[in-house]
Amino acid sequence: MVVSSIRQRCPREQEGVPSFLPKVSAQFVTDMLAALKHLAAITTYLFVGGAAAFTVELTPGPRVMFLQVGTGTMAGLPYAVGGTPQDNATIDRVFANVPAAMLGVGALPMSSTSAVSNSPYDTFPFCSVAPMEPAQVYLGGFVRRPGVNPQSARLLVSTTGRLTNASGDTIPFGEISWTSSGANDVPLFPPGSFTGGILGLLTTSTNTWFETCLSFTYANTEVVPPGTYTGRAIYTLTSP
Amino acid sequence: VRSSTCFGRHSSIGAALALLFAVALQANAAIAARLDEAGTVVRDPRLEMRWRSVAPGRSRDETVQGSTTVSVRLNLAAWSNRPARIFLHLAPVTIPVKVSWRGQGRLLPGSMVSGGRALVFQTHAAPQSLEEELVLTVEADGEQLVNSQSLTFSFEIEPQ
Repeated sequence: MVVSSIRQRCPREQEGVPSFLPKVSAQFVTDMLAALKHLAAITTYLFVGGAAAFTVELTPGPRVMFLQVGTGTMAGLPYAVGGTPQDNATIDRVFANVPAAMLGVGALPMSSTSAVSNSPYDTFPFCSVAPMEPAQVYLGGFVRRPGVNPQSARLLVSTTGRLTNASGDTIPFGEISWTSSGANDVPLFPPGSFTGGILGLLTTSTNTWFETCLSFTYANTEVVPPGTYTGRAIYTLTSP
Repeated sequence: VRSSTCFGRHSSIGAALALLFAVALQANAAIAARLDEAGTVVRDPRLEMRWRSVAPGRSRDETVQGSTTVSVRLNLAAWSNRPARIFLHLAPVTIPVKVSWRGQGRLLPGSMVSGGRALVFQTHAAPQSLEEELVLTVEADGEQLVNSQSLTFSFEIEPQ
């Protein structure tokens, strides 16, 4: 069997012979030219399309930590409208004067040198301060950090040893206790007393403002020699 | 059989032309091309993001933001004297990012989110080139922006 490989030529169109090719009108030719013009333009666009872009690299927000216990400094109060916390080295005193006749007879409210009555966050009247009673100590702060970690900020308080006077007499730190509550607010953490060691007060989420007012009480359960007994409580805010 | 072969050949040409025509007409409205912006310089390409509010509020404002200046230089020679619209495009990134910008009047100010684009220039006769100083402000959720993110901007042109 022989298979012809010669390609048949298509028959030429002849006048009067029905054609299978579409009729080509002048409009069609015009449209085709326009289309080709568009295609040429598109080709140009795509050719140019390899141009460089510009890039900007974003870095995560910085980690920021702030804690205020008692006196503090804020630039542009209040925080809520853009205020910025500043360093303040003031160490406030919490104290109780116990008359001789009152020694060992029971709890006495303690006063404070802190004069922070309005919340540094929004100036809301929050804490009562001396000469009002109770004379409270403002405590507030926050931890700023990227990421969501609801349990990553801890507030601790540490005391060392005992309260001591110039003669070396002592009072246990456990004689001093606190409650936590500001105006129209619920306690930020449960009441407690110092231990002479480190004590956890609060575990809170990052990127959240926390604040409260501390009221201190001297238990006054012992009859101690006269003198001024001092000790220091250090509040620490930590975040890994 | 031979006849139908010829028929197929001619009709293919016609169909192809018709298809090209249709595509071209569609493309005229939709095709955008990246612009040559080789002369564009970002003054500070590494943007140190800052918390919008230094202290977090009770309402939890977790926005971080940063700004930089971009000296834009676009080569429009291929579209000179032709009507065109120019868009600023920001490629998608893994977290939502909002970008706003303002210039000195040659490009329109505006804003967009990542993955979007915005009209910055429209003309009946494009110039040979276009230069502008844009102040770019970027905002993102500080809790989501844990790792560095690279934002890729480009300019696109749509001839009209």
